[in-house]
Amino acid sequence: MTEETRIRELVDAGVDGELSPEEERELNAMRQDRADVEAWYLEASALANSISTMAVVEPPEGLKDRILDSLPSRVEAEQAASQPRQTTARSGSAFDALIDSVRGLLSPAPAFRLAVAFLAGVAVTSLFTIGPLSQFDVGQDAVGTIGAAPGQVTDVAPVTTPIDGQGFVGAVALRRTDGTVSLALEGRASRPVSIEIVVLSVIHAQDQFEQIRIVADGDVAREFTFDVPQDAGAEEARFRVTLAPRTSQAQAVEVAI
Amino acid sequence: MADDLVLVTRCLQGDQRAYGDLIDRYQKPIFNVARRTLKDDRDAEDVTQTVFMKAWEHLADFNPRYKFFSWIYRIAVNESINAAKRRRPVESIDSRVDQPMDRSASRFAENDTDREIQFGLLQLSPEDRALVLLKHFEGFSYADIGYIMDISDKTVKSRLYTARQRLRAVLERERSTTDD
Repeated sequence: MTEETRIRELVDAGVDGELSPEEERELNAMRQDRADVEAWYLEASALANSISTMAVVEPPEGLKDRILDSLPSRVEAEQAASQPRQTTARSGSAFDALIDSVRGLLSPAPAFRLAVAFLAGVAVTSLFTIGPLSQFDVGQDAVGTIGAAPGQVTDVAPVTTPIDGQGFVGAVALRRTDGTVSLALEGRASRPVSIEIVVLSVIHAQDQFEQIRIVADGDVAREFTFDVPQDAGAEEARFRVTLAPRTSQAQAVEVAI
Repeated sequence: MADDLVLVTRCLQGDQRAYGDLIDRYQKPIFNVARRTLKDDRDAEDVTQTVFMKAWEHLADFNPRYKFFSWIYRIAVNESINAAKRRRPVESIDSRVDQPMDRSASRFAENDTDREIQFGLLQLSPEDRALVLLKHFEGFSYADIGYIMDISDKTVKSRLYTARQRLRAVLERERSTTDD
C-alpha cells in the first residue's frame, strides 16, 4: 500500500466516522498541514453527502398486504425452512424419474430441442422427495418442467408455452444463448400467487440449483437469466415453475418443437 | 411501539399482525436498497417480498444478539445481489433486446446529482454497490456492514475504499465527458 493510498483510506474512514482517537488526531493534523489531504477530505465528504441524500421512495401501495397474504402459517414456514434450498451431487430414483420423463418428451438427435411439460400425478409426486422442491405440497401444487437445453448449443430461438392454473394465466419462454439460459415469464395473477422457479444445471455431473420466488398479484413480466458455463461442461438446464396457493388440479400440458 | 424483539417473539407464536408491524417498519428501507441495487422497481418489489417471506420462514433462526434490522438487511442484500446478477428487465417475452443503460433517463433520479450518482453506482459490481449503499444510504457502521455482508470490519474498510475509488473514477470520467 502506498502512502497516498493509506492516507486516502484514512480520509474515507474519517468521513465514515470510523477512526480510532489516535487515527483521528493523525488525520486532523494532516488536514491542517496539507492542502491535498484537506481537499481529499472535502471531496470524500461531498461524495458521501451526495449518496446519502439520494431520493427515498415509498414502497408500492399494497406491498405489505401482498406479503401478508402470501405468508404460510408458522408451522408451514418452519417446515419449509428446514428443507434444503440448494443441493448438489444428488442422485436417486425420484430424480431419475424426472429426468427420464423429460427426456421422453424430447425426440432424439437434432442439434437442439426444447420440450415443455407440465407433469401431474405420480410422476410429480416423486419429484418432491428431493432437493429444493421438497418444500412444496406434492399433492396440491402445480409443477411444470419447462424445457431442457443441451449445454453445447449456443443460440436457440425462444419457445413459449402457456400456463393456466392456480390463479395465474400467462406464458413462459425459454431461450438459450451463448453462455446463458433465459427464462421469461409473463401473465396475470388474479390473486396473489407464489411462483417458484428452480433452475437445474448439471455441471460436471453435479446437479446445481438456483431458486427464485416471486409473489405475483396482477400483471407480471419478468426475465431471468442464468449463466451456464459451457466450458465447464454444462450439459443441461431445466426449469420448473410452481404456483401456489394450491389448487387440486395439476396440469398436463406438453409442447415440443 | 413494541420493540423488534417483542414483535419477533409474537411472530414466532403465529401472530401475523406482529409481522405486519415489522413490515411497516422495514419495508421502506429494504425496498429502497433493493431498488438502488437493481435499478428496477418491479424487481425491487419482488426482492422485498422474497426478503420478508424468507425472514418469516427463518424467523426461528434469528439470533437476538443482533439487531433484527441488520438480520433482515443481510437477507435483503444477499437477495438483491443475487437478483442483480441474474435478472434483466423484460418488455415482453418475444421482443427482448438487451439495451445498454440509458443514463440520461434514469427514472430513479430526482436531479442531476442524483442521476449522476445513480449512474456511477450502477457501474459498480452488485457487491460494491451494496457496500456503498449500506454505508452512505443507510448509515450502517463498518461492524454492521461486516455482519450483513459476512466479511470482517477490516475488509469492509478496504473494499469500501476501493468501491468509492471506482465510483470517483466513473464520476470524473462522466463529468469530463459532459464538459466536452
